[in-house]
Amino acid sequence: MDIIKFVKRATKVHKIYSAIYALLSFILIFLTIAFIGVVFNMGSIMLFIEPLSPYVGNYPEFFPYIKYENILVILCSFVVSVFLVLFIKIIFKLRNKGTRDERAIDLIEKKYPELKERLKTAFDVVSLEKKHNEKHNEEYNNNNNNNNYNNNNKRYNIIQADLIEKVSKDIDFVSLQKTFHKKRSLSKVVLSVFVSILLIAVLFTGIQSPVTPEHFMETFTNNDNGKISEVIHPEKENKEDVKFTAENKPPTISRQPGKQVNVTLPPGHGIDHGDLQSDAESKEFTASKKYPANSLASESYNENLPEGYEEIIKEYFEKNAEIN
Amino acid sequence: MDSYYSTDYERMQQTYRNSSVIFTTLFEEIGKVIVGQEEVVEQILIAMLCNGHALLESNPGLGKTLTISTVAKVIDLKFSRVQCTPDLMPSDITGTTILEEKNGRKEFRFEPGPVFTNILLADEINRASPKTQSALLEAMQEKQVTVSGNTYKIDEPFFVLATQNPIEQEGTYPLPEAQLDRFILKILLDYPDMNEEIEIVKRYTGQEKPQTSRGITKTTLQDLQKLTRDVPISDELISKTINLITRTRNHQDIEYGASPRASIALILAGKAKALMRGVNYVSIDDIKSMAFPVLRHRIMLSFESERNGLKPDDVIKMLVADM
Repeated sequence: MDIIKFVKRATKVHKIYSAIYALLSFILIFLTIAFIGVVFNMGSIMLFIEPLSPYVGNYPEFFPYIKYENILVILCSFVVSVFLVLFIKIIFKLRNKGTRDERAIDLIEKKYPELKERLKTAFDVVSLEKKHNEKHNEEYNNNNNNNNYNNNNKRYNIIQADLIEKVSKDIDFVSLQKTFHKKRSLSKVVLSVFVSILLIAVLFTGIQSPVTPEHFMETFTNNDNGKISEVIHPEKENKEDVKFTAENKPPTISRQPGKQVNVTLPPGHGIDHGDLQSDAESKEFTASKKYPANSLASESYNENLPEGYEEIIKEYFEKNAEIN
Repeated sequence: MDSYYSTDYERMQQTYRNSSVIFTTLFEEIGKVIVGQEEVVEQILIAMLCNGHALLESNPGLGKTLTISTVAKVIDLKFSRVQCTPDLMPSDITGTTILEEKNGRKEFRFEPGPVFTNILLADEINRASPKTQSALLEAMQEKQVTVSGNTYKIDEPFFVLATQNPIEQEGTYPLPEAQLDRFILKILLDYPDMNEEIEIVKRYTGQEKPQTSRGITKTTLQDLQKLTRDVPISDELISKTINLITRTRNHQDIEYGASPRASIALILAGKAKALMRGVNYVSIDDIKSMAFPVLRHRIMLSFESERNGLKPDDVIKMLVADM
């Protein structure tokens, strides 16, 4: 078989196979992103887009099985998948520098190790000769009778002719179908079918993950009194202006108001010796005895002390002195 | 493609078909005298197939001279030996004109030196003075000698197999890097292993001295040299080879990298290696294996690397691993 014709055919086949791999990758990526988007209710982001918010939770008339937000998720997944596949292709092309012919030859040499480096070398030799012939076509025809050229081997030297002859015979047994990555493609198909089943199930049953974007949005929109507020439009200051009907009411999470706890510390609470060392219950404050008139108090204790603290401090030091 | 005439075509084809047998015979004949050192013998033959010169380096007593003289005998080429010493003069290598009386008349006659041979063994080339070294190197490059204004061509094929001793560097004149570049390969000889040394002792302590016979003719060698250049190599491999050489010029451990002469040498050596293996294409393994003898004398390591104990072969190993 002619080596150049074989390589050109292999390049064509490789092109088709590459397109199939890209399509399978695209389908799998698209279905996966769509599934993740639907499960995590990414469509609820529509609530924050004013023109689209009324459609949240509704079903379109032309297809009353999938909600509007899920349709948006599917469309966005499609667009993201397209960009992702294109990006991967660009990265792949940048990493694998070489012509399409060279890549096709690499694939064949990988599948048929006996052709490793031989096919590439033979192809380079015949390509060079072809270019040379095309350039000096007339001169070659005129000289053909005078030189000892083998018509089948053109102007190749002994070793080149030997290589081309052997490789031409060996490529007769090459099946280009074997260069198709069957396992990889089959696994992508199986995964795609699996993910599509999951996606359909999620779309029609409405099963969702407990964690959705609303959780994260609500964390940022808490107000100061400790009560967790409902989802509101950022543009609307007054909640009462937003009119919701039973049909288009945004989904909210049911909450219980928090228990009011008084965290202010009464004077003297928990400062007594005994209270520090044991798990004593909180006591009502009782004023301590007045300190003896002949006791001298340090000035620092007298400055800016809250009412009632002077007695407590004196008692503390008196007790310390008794212990020592 | 017209590297030979049509009348030689059949002979060339015959030589190509028998090339595996030819090389096997050569190794067998050389192996009768030289124990082990297959890689050294192979590299010497590769240098000859590339029509280049080789520099052999080893400690004394490892059979450098014996190897080269055996190769010369097996290939049936004229062999000369020059023992380089500091007092060796250029005319001792190239030859000189002498005055002699002939038919009652006195006339000058050129007496050719040992360089007029096919294989010249220049023993301990680093002991010769720079002037003598340059005279030899000029003969290597030009394949001719000019004495008293007359140019005398050296018979083809012409190989210089020079030897060097890495120890005992006192009083020597190391070849400058620019001159080292003229040697296509730098071959290192190592000590033989236990079994090889036992065999050496048995052969050379007996009554009979090992002998060898002629393996191939000069014409066959010249045919093999032409066939070496005909071995095809892919464009991708040429690019990879040149990339390897280029990386020696930017490597952190290398002060001075290899020149384009190294690219030519490496590809030629790869072709010769492929021919010796009996295949009709050059593979990346051929280039990788020949990178060491081709590059080790063409790169100069940085002071920092030498201080850290790095050798040229270590750096070449790193470069080849990235190929």
